[in-house]
Amino acid sequence: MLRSVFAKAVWDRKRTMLWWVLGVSALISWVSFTYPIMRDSEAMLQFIEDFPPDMLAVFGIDPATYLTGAGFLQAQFYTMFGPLMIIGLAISLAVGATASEEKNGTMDILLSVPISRTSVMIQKAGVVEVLVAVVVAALTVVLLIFNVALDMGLSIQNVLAANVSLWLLGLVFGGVTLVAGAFTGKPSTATGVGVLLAILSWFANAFVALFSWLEIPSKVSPFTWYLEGPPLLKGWSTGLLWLIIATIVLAAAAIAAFNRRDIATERSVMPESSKARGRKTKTLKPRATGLLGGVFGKSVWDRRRSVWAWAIGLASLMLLTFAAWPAFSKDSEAIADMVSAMPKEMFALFGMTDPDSLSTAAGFISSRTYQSVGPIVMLIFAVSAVSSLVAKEESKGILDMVLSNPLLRRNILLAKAAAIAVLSMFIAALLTLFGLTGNVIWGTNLDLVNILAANTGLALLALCFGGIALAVWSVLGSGPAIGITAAIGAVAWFLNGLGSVVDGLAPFRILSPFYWYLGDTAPLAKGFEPQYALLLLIAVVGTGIAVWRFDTRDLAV
Amino acid sequence: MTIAIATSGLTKYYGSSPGIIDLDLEVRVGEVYGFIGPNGAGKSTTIRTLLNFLFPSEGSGTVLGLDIIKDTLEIRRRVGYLPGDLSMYDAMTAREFLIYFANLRSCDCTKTMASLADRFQLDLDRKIKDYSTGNRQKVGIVNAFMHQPELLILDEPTSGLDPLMQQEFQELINEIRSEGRTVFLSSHILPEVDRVADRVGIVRDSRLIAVDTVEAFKAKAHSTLSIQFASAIDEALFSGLEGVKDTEVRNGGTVLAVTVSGSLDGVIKEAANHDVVSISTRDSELEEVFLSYYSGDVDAS
Repeated sequence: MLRSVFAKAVWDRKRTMLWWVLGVSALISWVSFTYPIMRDSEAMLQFIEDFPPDMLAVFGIDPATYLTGAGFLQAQFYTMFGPLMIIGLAISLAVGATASEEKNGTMDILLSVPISRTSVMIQKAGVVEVLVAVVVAALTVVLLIFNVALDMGLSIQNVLAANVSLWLLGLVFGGVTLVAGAFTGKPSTATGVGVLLAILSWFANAFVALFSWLEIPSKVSPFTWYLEGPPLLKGWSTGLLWLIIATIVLAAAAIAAFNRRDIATERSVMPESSKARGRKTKTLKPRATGLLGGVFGKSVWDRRRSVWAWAIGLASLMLLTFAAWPAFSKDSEAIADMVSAMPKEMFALFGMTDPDSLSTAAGFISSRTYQSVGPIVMLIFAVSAVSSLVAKEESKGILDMVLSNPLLRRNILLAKAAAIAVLSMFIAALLTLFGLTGNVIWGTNLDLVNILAANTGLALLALCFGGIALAVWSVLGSGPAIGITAAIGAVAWFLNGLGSVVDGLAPFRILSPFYWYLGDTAPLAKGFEPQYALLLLIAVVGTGIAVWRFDTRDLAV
Repeated sequence: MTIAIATSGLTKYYGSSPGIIDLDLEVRVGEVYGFIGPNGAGKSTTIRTLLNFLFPSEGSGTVLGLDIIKDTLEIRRRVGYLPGDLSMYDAMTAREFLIYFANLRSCDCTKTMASLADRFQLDLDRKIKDYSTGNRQKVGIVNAFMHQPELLILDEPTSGLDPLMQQEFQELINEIRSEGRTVFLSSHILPEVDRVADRVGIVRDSRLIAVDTVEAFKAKAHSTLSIQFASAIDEALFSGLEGVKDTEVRNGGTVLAVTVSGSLDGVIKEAANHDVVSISTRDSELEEVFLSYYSGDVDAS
């Protein structure tokens, strides 16, 4: 394990990789299990014949093939969910390549040994390639087993083609992240660039049917290369070649960028650095001095970028959904048919425990912003805020320094909790604003109270998980806090989703905060629900436990 | 080859703010060179440029006769480095960390690793994140020395070490010197440099402002003698002597304070002509010399 940079990096990620393998296997299992239900449904067959193909394309559904195993899996997994996960994995691995080591300061001592930067980058890029391959291989194996067990009729050749393409798609965005990381040395920038390019290229590919100006961008979108065929139906495609070329070019660019970098400094070697000699050094004024007046202000300030990123991401998603509604509403009856024909299990996976409402504006717009993506984003936002504002500050010893001031521990913690609450509410407020605007522009006639309620609930959901994260942190310490809270969130998510379709789990659904928020009605189709108070209660109790424990426990170093 | 490190006009800017400007450095093989200056003077920038972590904005340099950019791999093969801002892989134990780095160097360093750890009383089987600052520093020192490099580049090596360990470290440096190996160390702790270095370079505001042997710097130091006589004496007898900078009488002329640069011989011989009760000296030593360089009282030589 300690033989080389490559071996160490792989070894370091063994546990994370286990989770990825399990998660991806669980997902593909879920999707596979819904296939027989779909195939045997008369209503579905009827619907596929009736529905306008253009609309189906936006759902990733090809009417000619949807009822075959390959067409179904392509639409339900390989078009969006699979790529999303694999790209996410590749980006997170690529950030860990050089940018994280530069930020952590370990790159200096690593490069003090006689290894060339080229070799470091090749080994680190190799880690991304191999580990993504491991997860994709697991996916392939599970799928091949289900192919036999559920009689899905997939060609083994095509399964291989699809998964190799998926692997390469991940590597392209992993490569983008490597380049950004090698050029800037900043993990946050690297992640941002990787995610942004992934979203843009997905968008260009997915919406080219609706917006003609996307024609040219969609041609250079790796998603278009990836979906050419698509491989699960047609086998190896020329798009694969483009993905391979892009991967190689990006890896070469990453090596070149890293070779020119000033390690662990703010910027790469810029040609103007020698010209800058004569210039006077600028005095940097402390920014936002007002905000640095206290723990609360500082915490808000620390998270400003993250808040804007999440808020704008969610708001854009919502506006897109609004914009798509007029087109969909023309066929709302057909949508209703489709929904009743499709297995509820599939919707449940995406938090849509109320699929029949998809044919209404409230249900349709909820489905993306308030049922699937929104709650997960808020969970991630709250947990990562607790991680960086509280857990990391403790493990890095920053809390020691903060507490050397005459401040009560509880006040510091409460200030941080308040900051997370205010930031969550800010995201919700921005969404409300966009929701109200969208409602007017696209004439969706949503109830204003419902808009307010859906967003309040979303903010409360964030607070709830923030409270849980704080409580877990105060009891178990900084190390396991984030992982455990994320696991609680995942279990709660599946409990709500599965509980709506599996009878045995139904009684346990009431334990899930997602159930309190989502229930069996889309958030935009209902007003303020009494269960929202439960979300607030958990937030308050969680924070209370944290304050109580934190006041009396040892500070970890 | 007698030059271990040489730079000519080495300059590094970060954007528009200077790291090190126009540095001409010469470190000879077999010597211990102390690179000293206040915080932010450019010491770490210089070191990180020598190891090609940073690319010079201008100028060039060689380490062990090898170009710092072109031959960086060969340089790093033959150099031991201790970073000033030491970060290691927190989740590893010290042993794992050191084995990993030995592997990356393809060196069988187990023996030297163990003896160095012994010497610095370092328990290798704890996680790096659980070490105190001093113990982390010891891990860094073991890592820098374990492959017995011919040149050691050490950025503030004793920071965090207790006095006993600092002494151990100084002994280690002396052994390295007696083996004919070279040490380039940066520091802002003067006694440390005083004790181990043969030559000293002083950096201030990104420029190297003085280089000399420790002895030469000491010779520039002044000392103040305070002599008590049995009866009042004439100040003028002393003020004209060679090397005397300043005189002052107190206590009705019975106590004479005299500031001398260089040899005390003349003052002592003159005092011997009188009835001396006691003599005390206060050495300004290196400390004051350096402080005068640091604060900018002395201009670039």
